[in-house]
Parts: sequence; structure tokens; C-alpha cells
Amino acid sequence: MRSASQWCARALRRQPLLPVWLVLVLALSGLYGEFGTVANFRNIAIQASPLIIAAVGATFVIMTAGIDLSVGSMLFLAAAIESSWALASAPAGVVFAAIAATGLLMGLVNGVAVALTRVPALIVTLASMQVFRGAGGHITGQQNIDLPAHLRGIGTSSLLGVPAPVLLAAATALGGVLVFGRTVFGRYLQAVGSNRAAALNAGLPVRAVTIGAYALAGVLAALASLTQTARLGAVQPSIGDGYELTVITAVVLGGTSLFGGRGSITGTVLGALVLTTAQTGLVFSGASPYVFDIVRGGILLVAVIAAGTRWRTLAQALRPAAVS
Amino acid sequence: MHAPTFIRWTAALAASALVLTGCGSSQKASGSDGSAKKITIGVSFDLLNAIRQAEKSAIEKATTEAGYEVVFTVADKDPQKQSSQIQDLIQTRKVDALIVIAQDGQQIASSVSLAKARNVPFIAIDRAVADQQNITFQITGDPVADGKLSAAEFVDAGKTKPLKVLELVGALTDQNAIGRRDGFNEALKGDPNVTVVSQVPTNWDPAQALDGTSNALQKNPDINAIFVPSDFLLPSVQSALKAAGRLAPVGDPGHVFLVTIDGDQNGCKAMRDKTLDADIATPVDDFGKQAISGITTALGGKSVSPNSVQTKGLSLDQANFATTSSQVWGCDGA
Amino acid sequence: MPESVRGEGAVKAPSAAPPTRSIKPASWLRDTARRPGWLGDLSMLPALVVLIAVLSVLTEGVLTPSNIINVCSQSAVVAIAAIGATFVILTGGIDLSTGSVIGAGGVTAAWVITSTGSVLAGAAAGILAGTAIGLVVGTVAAKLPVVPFAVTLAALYVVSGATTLLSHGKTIAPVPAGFIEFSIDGPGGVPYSVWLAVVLYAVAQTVLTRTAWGRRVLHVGANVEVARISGVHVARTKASVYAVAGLFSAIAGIVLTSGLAGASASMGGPLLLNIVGAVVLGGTSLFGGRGSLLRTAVGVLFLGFVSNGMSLLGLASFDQQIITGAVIFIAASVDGIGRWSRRRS
Repeated sequence: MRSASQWCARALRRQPLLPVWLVLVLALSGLYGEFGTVANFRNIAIQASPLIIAAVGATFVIMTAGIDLSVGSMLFLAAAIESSWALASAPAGVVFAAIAATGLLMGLVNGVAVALTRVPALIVTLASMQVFRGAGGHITGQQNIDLPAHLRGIGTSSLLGVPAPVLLAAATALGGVLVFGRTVFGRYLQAVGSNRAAALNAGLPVRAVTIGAYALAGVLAALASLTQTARLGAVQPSIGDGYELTVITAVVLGGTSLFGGRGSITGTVLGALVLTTAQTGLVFSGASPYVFDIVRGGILLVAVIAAGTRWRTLAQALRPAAVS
Repeated sequence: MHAPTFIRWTAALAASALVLTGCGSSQKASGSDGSAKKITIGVSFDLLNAIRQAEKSAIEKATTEAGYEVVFTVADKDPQKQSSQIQDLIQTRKVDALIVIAQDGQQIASSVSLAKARNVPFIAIDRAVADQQNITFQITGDPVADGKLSAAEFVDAGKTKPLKVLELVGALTDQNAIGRRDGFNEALKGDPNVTVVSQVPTNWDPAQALDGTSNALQKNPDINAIFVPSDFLLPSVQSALKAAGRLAPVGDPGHVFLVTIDGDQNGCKAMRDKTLDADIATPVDDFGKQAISGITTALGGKSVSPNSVQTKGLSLDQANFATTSSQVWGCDGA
Repeated sequence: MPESVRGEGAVKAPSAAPPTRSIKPASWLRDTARRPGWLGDLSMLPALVVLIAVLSVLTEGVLTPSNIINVCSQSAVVAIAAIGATFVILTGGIDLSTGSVIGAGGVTAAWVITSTGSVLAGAAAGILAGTAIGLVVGTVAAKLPVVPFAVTLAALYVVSGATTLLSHGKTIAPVPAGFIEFSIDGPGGVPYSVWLAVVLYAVAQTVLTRTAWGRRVLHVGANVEVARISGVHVARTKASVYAVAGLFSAIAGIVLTSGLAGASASMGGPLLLNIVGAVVLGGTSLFGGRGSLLRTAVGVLFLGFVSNGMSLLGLASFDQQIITGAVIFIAASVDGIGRWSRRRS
């Protein structure tokens, strides 16, 4: 009994967002009959998928005390590359490889610029945000490009009843948790994020870790793009416009510190789910779309205050156990 | 200590010069033409997408025919940037006339008064400008009429089968979106066969259109018709239908009745593939032609009359497709 | 050297500021440490000169008086909002709600102006609204156990959502012609808005370097613990900084309303990244404690000339985006690469 309550307290301390999300889901299910259906949860999961994938990538970057404003532009440039290969009617495998390579390249550009120059990450990614979007515009000519059926497959197909976007998001989340918690890279990431100078003094490969985090974010942005365009069925110039703030909101909501070192992939996933659930709930309620911004801001505020409060009161009791 | 700094700055200078000249090479040509005293027209767009590209081509075609030069700027949906760009065009590039698609019909007013103060003809296209007295000429679509034309398609179809309609709405801050919505709803008022069961705002965002359509289909499974206020939201709507297992071609009993506005390449293709029932096409070519002829009149010292034109859209549906599609801009060369 | 209260040997807990390196003076200007602080503040100036030189070669009319006035008047809004952002960033914080508050201040002002006809009353109402929002944001950020960044992100959504809701997403217009004049004309052909920005910069720089409050701001940014030990009321200082940011955002919103002849809730949104970008590009450290308004002024002008140059060159919009990004990065990295190479040698 005692261990169970302890476990609960610990889970709550680690994921204060979990009860927030559960309350949200229960309240909406109570209010709207059609909300609490399997089909609707499936919808929410599909809709949250691209955000989860992109936000997991951003979590790695933010963990290094960096920031990536270029995520929306990366989505667009990856989609642009996809459309150009699609126009050349390349097979799906080739297109996917091209997209992944684009993502890796974009992430490396960001990572190398952040790690090897002393330009703040905010400025590097502010610049690359412009460059990537401009390059995407060149490739698409700002046209809407319909994707052929074999590239839309990811958006609509499913395996054992689980939609492909959800599978991709789940795999990303699981991979993220493993990389973060079980690998040397993950440990270095936390070390670099919490104290860069100490990490340097300890002889850790600080630059390589930083580059790795941005590269990972690039690849995941490309994967998010692939998922999103497959769902949309088309590549449009507005893809990813303003996405950086949504992604950062999901990450911050999940409890990752913008000063680096502290954060969680599970939290980010929950953050993305809370945002998507709230948005779906608003469509069900038929409220003005402007209310969504207010609700989103309110949830963010409540969540960070809750997280902060729990952190203070429970930290002393539980901190020794939580040291990783 | 000074040497590395010097090298650094030289490198920076070289790098920026390289970047700027590399991409600026296209600029050189028009720069050298300046001596020939060609008339230059400054164009300021709110953003660039498929329909704007078509409008851009229409303007380019009409200016080439008239023998004018064009300078394009795009404001990326930022009214302050648009105002700055217009200021640059008037005061530094010294253009002879302006063609503007306003990001905001009211906030463009200060640009209009600047143009007036400098005697630069100001032509507004596509989106109406509030300050009607001070502009030279305006040609826009008629969003209310386009909404009504769309509604007429629904009323027609409703005669054979009652329709429960999902209505997507563009950005609530855009007069074109509001006009289309209002025209549509007004024309449907009192029709016994057509009921709007759900209204979903999209903020002109394809992802929001996709999610909103999915959610609405989830909430109201009996929806059997969707009004899509712009062609570029069509792929989103069709993806949502496909995900819900509701995508079927025109004529199939499970088909969801679809009407869009714009008439771009995707819309035309969907008409040809018989997945779309009707598309209200915007007369984009007219915008370019009439804008340029307005400029020619104004530069000749005369005033343009009438100074405001609203062009109705052209209803393209499955019945008249064969005869009408040649007049729709999106069907060109497809 | 009042503005060089630097975070030497910072023990700021989880900050990732590489303490020793980022503090080492970068350019030759800052290298000779005994030069007055304002010379170090102008380390971005050579980049600005190079930019203007390159633009002048490529296109006509860049250095004409009328174009320079244009750039200044186009930059006035970002410049004024960047004053507040500089103070926030100097404490090691960041204010993402700036763009929303510009919209809220502008819409409030325009609403009062259109309903009472008094520009003065409108300006007062706008400033009051903006400052109040800033004060609330600052109090929440400083008094509750939360990351200020997250609070300002929440404020961004709440404020813009509420402003849009209250204005029904419409543009509030028309405003009186005399109010529009403010951004068009003024003494010496330079618009009043530019004069206002210049005066505000002079005042703000003086406040930062010559007052106890300014020193407290730099202190808190350089090292919170040391500031606390030396008797600075950290929470109050932090809260006040956000209130000041709200004040300047509101003034910027009113100037923007005059420039656009009307106000809308969404008008400030696109400016956020320019504002933060100008402050950081100017050389104010995102980790706090190091920076000045002189730096921000140079950063603002740099971005102003970049976007002016792009529209004068008349390139395709995607080329403009690529070049803008490249130029920003090159300018910022000249400073950064310098530090890096010095460290290696």
C-alpha cells in the first residue's frame, strides 16, 4: 500500500500533467456524448501525432539549453523535397530516404552552427528558419502540390487497427525515452544542458552532443512533415507556419526546462496530447476559435504553476531517489 | 590583434557580397534598363500561394503586353512589413504606379495616403480597401456573390436529396472569408432541403481544416455535404473524408457533396476527376488586365471610371464542365 | 564602466551560459578592456556599415537621406518595443508576450480614440493597458515558482486571444488624420515616431546606467544569488522589468496604430521575432547581465536595413528569405567566430 502511494506521488511529481490531461478527457467526455468514443480518441491520437514527433525532437534541443525556431520551416522544406521527388514519380522508399536525409542535413546545419560558432541558438535558428522556408519556396514555387496516393498511405493506413501516424508517434516517443534514459548520449545531454562548463571540464564531447541533439530534431521534424503531408494529401506553402510556438508550448507544458538539463519525453508527449485534446474539445463545444488561444494559455499557466508547486513541496522528500 | 579582425571583416564583406550578388544577378538586368526610362510598376502582395502566383502571372502578362517593368514585394502576412515595402517602392525605388493586395483593407490606408501624396496611382486588387476615395482603381472578386453562387449549387442538389452541410470558414479576420460565409448563409436561409449542421473555422490553415473536418464528421456522422471556401483546403477535406471512410466519387450514393471557390489547378483537376461537384472560379486574369489598363489610363492623366469593380465568380459544375472549363484559370494547360 | 557588470564566474544554477568564454571580450573593441563601455556596445556597428556598403553597391538610393529616414521610421515600432525586451533580457528572462501586448495596447488606444475622439486619452488608455498586462505577467513570473518564459508564452496566447475576442477580429479604424501624421511627418522631415524612439532610447540608456533600478537590473541578470545577498529585492526587480516591457510594447503598439491608420489584435505577432532578434543580434546576452540599449539600437537598424535592402533589390520573396537568414547569421557569427578562434589559439 505504502509503496503504491509512494509510486503515485512520484508519478505525480514527475508528470503533473497526467492528472490535468485525465481531468480534461473526463470532463469533455461527460459534456459531449460523442467525445468519449474510441473513434474520437483515435482521431485525437492521429491529430496529435505530427506534433508529438516534432516536439520530441525539440525536447532534445531544449534539453541542451538550446532552442529551435526553425522547426516549422524544416517541416515545409522537407515537404517541398517530398513534393519534388513525388513529381519525379520516385518510389516511396526513395522519397522517404530523401526526406530523412533532408531532415538530417537541416539539423546538422543548425547543430554545427550552434556548436562551432558562438552565435546564440536563438539567432542561428531564427536565420535558418528564413533560409529553410525560402529554399522550400524555391522548390515548390509556392504552389499547392497534390501528393500521389502511395505517399499519402502513411496518413490513412493502419496496422492491427492502429493508424500509421500513431504508430510513428509512439515509436518516436518510445525511442526518445530510451535514448534519453538509457544511452550515453542521453546522459551527456543532461550533463551538457545542466552545466555546460562543467561538462567541458569533465571532458565530455559537448560539441558532438549539441550537434547530435539538433540533428535528431531535424530528422524528427522531417518525420513529422512526412506524417503531416501524408494526412493533408498535399504540400502547401503554409505548412509549418508558426509551428515553432506550438512545439515549444508542448515541450514547456511537459515540464522541460528552457534552461536545459531537466525535462522529460513523456511530459512532452502529454503536453502535445493536452493541446490536441483541448483543441478537439473546443470544436465539440462550438466555441469561437479565439477562445482556443485563451484556453491554451490558461492550461499552460495552470500546468507550469502546478509543476512548480509540486516541485518545491515534494522535491526535498523525493530528490535523493530521483537522482539519475 | 588587429590583423585577424581585419581578415574577419574582409571575409564577412566578401561573403555578404557573394551572397547578395549571387542571388541579385537577376536584379542587374532590370537595373540597367532604368536608363531606357521604362515605366516601373511596384507590386505588393500580402503573401504568396497558388492563387497569388496566378495573380502574379496575370499581372506579369499584362505588364509585358503594355511594355512596363514590374517590381514584386511580398509582406508575409505582416501589415507593418507591407507598409514599409510600399514606402520603399514609392520613395526609394520611385515606381510609377502601385498594384496592391492588402493584408488588411483598413490598415492599408496610410499607404494609400502616401501614394496619393506622391501622386503615384494606387490600384487595389483581390481584397477591398476601406479608403475608397483616395485610390485610383480597385478590382476585386465579390465574396458575397461567390458565397451565394456556392449556395445555389447546394440548393440545386438539395432538390434531389436533403443536405446536411458542414461549412468551413476561412480566417475570421479576412473580409473575403467573412463575405463568402455571409453570402452562403444568406442564400441558404429558409431553404427547406439544406441545413448547415456545423460551422468550423479554419483560419485558412489546411491542418486546422483537416482536423476540424475530422472532428465534425465524428460529431455529426450524418453530414453529407461540405462547403469549402477555398480550393487549397480541398485536399485536407478529402483526406478527412478518406480517413472517415466517406470518400466516394460524384454519382456514388455515398458521395459527400462538395463545392469550393477559386478555380485553381487542384480544383480543376478534382472537377475533371469527378471528385468535386462545383467550383466557383475567380476571374484572376481580369484582375491583371484591368489593373494594368487602369494604370495606363491614370498615367495618361485621366481618372479611371468606374473606380471600383467587383467581378463575380464563374460557376463551374459537372454539368457545364465541358463548355466552361476553358474559361477557368486553373484549367489552363492542365 | 557601468554597463559592464558582467556575470564573471556566474554560479547561476542551471544556466547553460558558458561563463568564462562568453564573457571574454570578442572584438578588438572589447579586447582592450580599458576602452569605455560604449565602444564595446558598438561592436555590431562594423557589420551594419558593411551591410550598408554592400547594399549601396548593389542597388541605388540606399544612402539617400529619404531612404535613411524611411528605414528609421520603419524601424521605430520594433525599436521602441525592443527597449522593454532589452530590460527583460538583461535580467536573464525573455518576454514572448511582446507582440500580443503591442496588439492589445494598439487596439485599446484605437478603441478609445475612435469612441472619444481624443488621441491623448487613447494613448493613455493603451499605455495603461499594456503596463497593467506587463505588471500582471511580471508579478506571476516573479512571485510564483514558475519559469518566466512559460508565463510569457501563456500570456502571448491569453492576451492575443482576448484582444481578438474583444475586437471581434476586426481592425479598429479610422483614426484621426493628425494621429496618422505622427508616423509620417515631423521636425526636419523626420517623423515624430522616430524622434520619440530616439528620446526613449536616451532616457532608457540613462536609466539603465545611471539609476539604482538600472544597476539592480544588471545585478540580477549577472548573478541572482550575489544580487540577493547584496540586498537587491530580486522578485520585485524582475516583476518591474516585465511591467516596463509592457509599457514599451504598448507605446510601440500605439505608434504602429498611427503608422497603419488602425489597430488589429494580430498586428504585433509578426514583430516578436524581429524584436528579440534585434536585441540579441545587437549583442545583449540572452543569459542576462551583459548588454545595453545602444547595442539594441544597432541591432534594430541592422534588421531594418536588411529588410529595406531586400525590398529595394526587388528579389523573389523566397530569395529574400534566404538572404535575410544568411546575412543575420553572417553578422552574428563574425563576433562569435572571433571568440572561438581566439579560444583555440
